Amino acid sequence: MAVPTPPAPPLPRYPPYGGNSGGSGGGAAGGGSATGTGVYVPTSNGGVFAQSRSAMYPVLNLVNGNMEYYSFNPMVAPNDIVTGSSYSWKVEQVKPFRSFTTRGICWMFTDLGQVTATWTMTGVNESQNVVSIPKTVQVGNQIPTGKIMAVLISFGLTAMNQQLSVSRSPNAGPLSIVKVTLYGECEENQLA
Amino acid sequence: MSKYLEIEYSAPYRGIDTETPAILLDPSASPAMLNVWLRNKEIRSAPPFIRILSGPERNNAPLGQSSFMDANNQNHTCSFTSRGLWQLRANNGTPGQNDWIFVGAPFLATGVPVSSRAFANVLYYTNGVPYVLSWDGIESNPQVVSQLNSSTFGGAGGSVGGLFLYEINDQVCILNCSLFNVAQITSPITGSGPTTLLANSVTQYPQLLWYSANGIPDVWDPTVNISAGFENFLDVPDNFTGVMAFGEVAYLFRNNGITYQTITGSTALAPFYFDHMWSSEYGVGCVYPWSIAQYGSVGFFVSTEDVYKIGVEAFEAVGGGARDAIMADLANAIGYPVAGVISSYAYGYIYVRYELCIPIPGGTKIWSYSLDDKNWMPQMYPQVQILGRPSVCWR
Repeated sequence: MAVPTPPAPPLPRYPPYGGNSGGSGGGAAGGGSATGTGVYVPTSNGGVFAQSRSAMYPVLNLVNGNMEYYSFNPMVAPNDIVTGSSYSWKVEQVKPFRSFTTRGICWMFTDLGQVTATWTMTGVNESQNVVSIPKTVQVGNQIPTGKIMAVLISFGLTAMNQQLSVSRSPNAGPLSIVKVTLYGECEENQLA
Repeated sequence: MSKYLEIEYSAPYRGIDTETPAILLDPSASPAMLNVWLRNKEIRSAPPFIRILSGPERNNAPLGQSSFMDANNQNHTCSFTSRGLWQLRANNGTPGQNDWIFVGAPFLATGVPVSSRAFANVLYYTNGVPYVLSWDGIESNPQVVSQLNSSTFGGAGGSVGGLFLYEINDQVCILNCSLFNVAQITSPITGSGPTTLLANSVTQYPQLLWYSANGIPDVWDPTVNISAGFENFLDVPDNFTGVMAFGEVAYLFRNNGITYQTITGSTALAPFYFDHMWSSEYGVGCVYPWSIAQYGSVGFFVSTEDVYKIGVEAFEAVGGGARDAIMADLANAIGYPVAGVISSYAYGYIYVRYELCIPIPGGTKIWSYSLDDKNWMPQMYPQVQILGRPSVCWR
């Protein structure tokens, strides 16, 4: 008695044939392959492993004139070596035509690594001159801890309409600001 | 006499506001900021913006990029240049090699961002050339799918293409069309353009919409399949400048207006309804064709007077206090602005933002709008000029 022939296996939808393997570099002509049943299955023409995703920006590099693809890399510390960063807060009046004294600020930040930042308090005086005090400070650990830390920066600026700003030069480290508290005293005298 | 005071600045941050006098601002807004991200209620310097891949050609501009999955479940990431279609090598990022391999011609227009879309595991693309191309990730070369072989359109060898490509009702559609005819014909597009189309000519129809047959994206000739066809919008005063498709509806953008497209349910002579939301001589429309960007049910575009968010449930101006600064940069643009909605900047790093990239003297200004926090943040990159739409792709 003859042994019955087993039914043909279903056509494989995925590997072992060429597709989904990621290819060896893409661009090769799809040659196809024959499965055990003799059915021709065309293979993919190249492709990528699809193990990572990037936001891709097609650019002209203005430095070397090449066409390239750029992307943001948020998986490393936010320390761009080409561009600096800056942020300004609103102008504080506190009370009209009254000076106030900013003794300093409390800067709370996430420790992403060492960073050098310049904090500046700018205001105007009654003679309508602009007065400004910059303070450059370095904070953070060489090996980032990821912890929220705080530092006091003293200013001692007495002026009206004061504004706080911060700047970071290119490659000066990863800047983080969780919260800033400005402290000082304000004149209480009445106008006129 | 003086009194102790404390002033606290913390999240949520409202982003930049250059329109309100700085003394009248909300404490959570900023009158000036550059190259910081306001993600997760914290101010951080922007991550490094760095080269990750070579371009397909050193001296020929990439016109866009797109990832799609072929019928074998294989992902392909493609780039476009005027020479044609390229795909990313599996071992991309290796120093000293071209990260891209040439898939094939036909040529694309120079300097025009490509409009592409995957439909049933096949990538369709065009960029103002008089044909629509496709590549399935399996064949060795791209194919022209929009051939028009009937004598009505000048016989074998004719084709149609456009500037903007999308899909609705299982039909691939193109807007702002170019028609190529081999033999001399009387124009099949009545009401606009020349009456006689000379042999081997390409004619532009900036008010024309052309669609493939229902479910047959490689048949575009209405004399071959009656569900294919075209619609010439003679009742609007301007050109098509882009499109957003949301399943069964689509917004067709013009310079000064928006046309709403829905499906009729018929696959025969009139598969679509069109309703001009307005067709006034001047009005809200998209004036920067590649400022349109879409992510799911949300999209953005730039009109003459604001940046708008549009979706199935919303139509609102979102420029806010950043509007004047954005418009000032647009007025200084030295090339066309491009935009994209970026959902994640790396695998697992989510930050959904609309990014409007404006080439200005000295580099590119990127204006980013967070969809979660509804705030704007500007970034300036002096080392590059961004040439095509940013998009998230597989590597």
